[in-house]
Amino acid sequence: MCLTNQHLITQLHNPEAEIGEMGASFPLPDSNTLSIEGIPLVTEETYLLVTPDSGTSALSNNPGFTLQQQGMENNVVFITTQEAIANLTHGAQLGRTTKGRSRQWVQQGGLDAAIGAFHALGLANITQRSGGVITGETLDGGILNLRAGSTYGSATIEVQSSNSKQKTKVRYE
Amino acid sequence: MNKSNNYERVTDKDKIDELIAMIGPVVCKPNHFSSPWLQQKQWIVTPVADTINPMDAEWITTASSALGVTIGYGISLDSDMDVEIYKVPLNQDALLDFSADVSLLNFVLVPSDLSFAILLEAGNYILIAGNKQFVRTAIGCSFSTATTMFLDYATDSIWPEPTAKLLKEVAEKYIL
Repeated sequence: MCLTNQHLITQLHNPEAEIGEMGASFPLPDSNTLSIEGIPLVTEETYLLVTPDSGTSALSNNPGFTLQQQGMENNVVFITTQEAIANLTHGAQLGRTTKGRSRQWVQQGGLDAAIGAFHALGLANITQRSGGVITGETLDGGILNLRAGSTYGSATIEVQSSNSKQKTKVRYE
Repeated sequence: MNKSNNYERVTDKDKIDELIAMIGPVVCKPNHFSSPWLQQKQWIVTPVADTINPMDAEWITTASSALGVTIGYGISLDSDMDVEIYKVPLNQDALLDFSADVSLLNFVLVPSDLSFAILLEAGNYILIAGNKQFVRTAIGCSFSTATTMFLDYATDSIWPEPTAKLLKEVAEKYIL
């Protein structure tokens, strides 16, 4: 098997990473105790996959989203805010744009998809806050919040940019 | 939370108990105002789409300042979390920082004299309640325009069913 640069970076930053014919996989750290409404945010089966040829994140919904756009540090794949928004909204439906308000998107797949999408981004400093909200940070200081849906609303991922008051919200149906 | 020290958590137990008791009759947890309270006080409620943006923060600051109020208390309303209370200066920066940090949670923001109340629902809408003059200033436009704007938002065909149902419920309770 021919190892790509991405394989080497993966091994460099995560000696436990396994390199196979399908690419490299490694468990994301420190998140397996997080859960939303009893659903683990990360399970033993959850891995970030890196395909040998393209370096594309297999968990990404966006075929054009590649790990080459990201930096890696401490076994966590970092991502910029704009890349996170592009990834989360790929294939989503855009709501009416109201001046000065958040950009609203609707994505398919419900809570499971919301958790999967949030996790697959490779955010830094993922923490579970009160009220069932999970928070993570992007490479450039953006904040992403995930809240499970309840009887009062849908599962939602909110993106707050560090340099803009404009927010992006992706609801999962 | 509290990146820029624009607001601070209240830890004094007596103050916490006082504020929790104060909002008890005001809200129907986690995301509505109590109808008997609104009738008793003859408050007006206007729903606003989404979360607080810079324009909202400025208008709320102006409205509260006109009442001589400069400090509010943000009190969490979600039943699945311990009550959190924050002392929030009623200025644009503090309001934006606070609302950003609690944006997917349910909070009510009230001054200690309870001259108005602003309910920040978990990312879907805001309810601005108080006397007519306060609400008119805080929404930054006529009631008619505010109604049109909220209904335009609430009836967007993209909403998932739970969100559509929630926003319809808000429109029916406070507008229609």
